[in-house]
Amino acid sequence: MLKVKSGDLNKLGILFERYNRMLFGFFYRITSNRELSEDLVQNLFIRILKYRKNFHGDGKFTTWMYTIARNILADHFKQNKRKGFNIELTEAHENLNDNALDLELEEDKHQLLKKAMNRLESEKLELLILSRYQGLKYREIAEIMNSSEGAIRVKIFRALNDLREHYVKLEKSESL
Amino acid sequence: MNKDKLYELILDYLDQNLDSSQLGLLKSELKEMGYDINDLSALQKLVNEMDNIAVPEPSAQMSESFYAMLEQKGNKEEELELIERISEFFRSIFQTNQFPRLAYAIIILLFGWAIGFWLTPNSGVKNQINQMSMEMQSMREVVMESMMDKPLASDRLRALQLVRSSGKATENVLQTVLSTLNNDPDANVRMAAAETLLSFANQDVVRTGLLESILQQNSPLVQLTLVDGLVAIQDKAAIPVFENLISSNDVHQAVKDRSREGISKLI
Repeated sequence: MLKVKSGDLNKLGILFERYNRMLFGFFYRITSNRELSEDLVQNLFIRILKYRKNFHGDGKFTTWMYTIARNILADHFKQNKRKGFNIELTEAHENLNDNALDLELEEDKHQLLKKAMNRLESEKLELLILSRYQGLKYREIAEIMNSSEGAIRVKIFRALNDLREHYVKLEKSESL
Repeated sequence: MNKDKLYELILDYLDQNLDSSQLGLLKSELKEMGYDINDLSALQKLVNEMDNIAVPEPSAQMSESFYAMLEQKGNKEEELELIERISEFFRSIFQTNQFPRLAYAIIILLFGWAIGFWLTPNSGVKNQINQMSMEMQSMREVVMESMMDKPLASDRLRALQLVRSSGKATENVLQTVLSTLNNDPDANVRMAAAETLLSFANQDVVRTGLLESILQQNSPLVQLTLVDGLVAIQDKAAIPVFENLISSNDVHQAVKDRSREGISKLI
């Protein structure tokens, strides 16, 4: 990244190859929209180029990258003037039922779990994605979210409990 | 146990990262709080289930778009960098005390250019001067030739003086003077022609003409002038001509003596 910062833009290709799938996964788990997620990955690398001078190299690149990723998501939802981050996510995931391919590939439990995840508050959903899927350490998540490591652990635990509650409720309503 | 430590143990339990002693610690802690470790097992199942949810791979289009963007930004970046450097240069000039210096330098440069422009004649003027010079030369030739044809010897002498003073002579002029040297009825004119030709002795046609002329001359004064002239220009080709003069019966003794001296100087 420091080489990109000093003007060697071609080195951004190496960063792209290393992180594009991971970032796509991050956006996809939140938006459930492949095209949109690819656009957001593209936007993220444009922002990395634009703000590369702001990367000082004193922290991890991934931490800086996910901070930008979160800002991009927030900007996206703000620009689209939706009713709210959480509601949009719920709508997005409800649309999953229309996706025949996904239905074939995924089990019912996964569908239920995804729905439950989309009922979480945006910050809780992000916390679970960052910790469970993106492989970030609690210390790194604390840095991204400008919080302490202990507070992040508590929030993740609460997010898991909330998820469990949503899941159980959905399970009951589906069985009726 | 503090709260931070408890949550750390719980999350590690969900990730199945606890050893037996840590597990025992967690169990006793939960028991004290009125909970059971099995209360967490449902949460652990949920976490396991979450981990199994896969996401699709991004399309190849994403990669293509990225590299297209990178190339475009790279080109733009180079342009911006150039503009940035130029603007930085001007900014540094305007922000520091270098601006007055630059202004003076520009004024001096413009002043120098203006002086140079006024003082240097342009190519059009030069061409005109050259043309006028050529015209004057041809006029001089015409005047000289017409004067050479005049019956008065003084006119012909003035014509020869004109050729000498100009310092330049075309081949036509030289041929005219050579003809005068050989054919003019007046010995003074022929002597003047010989002196005129000697001033153009660097040309082959003149030297050859002078050598051939000596034997044709019937005036000893003209012959002496030519002998002296050929010795002065150190023309070694004159030696056989001088020998002819010496052996000839018609040549004046003074000319023969001067020729012998000439040969001794040229050898």
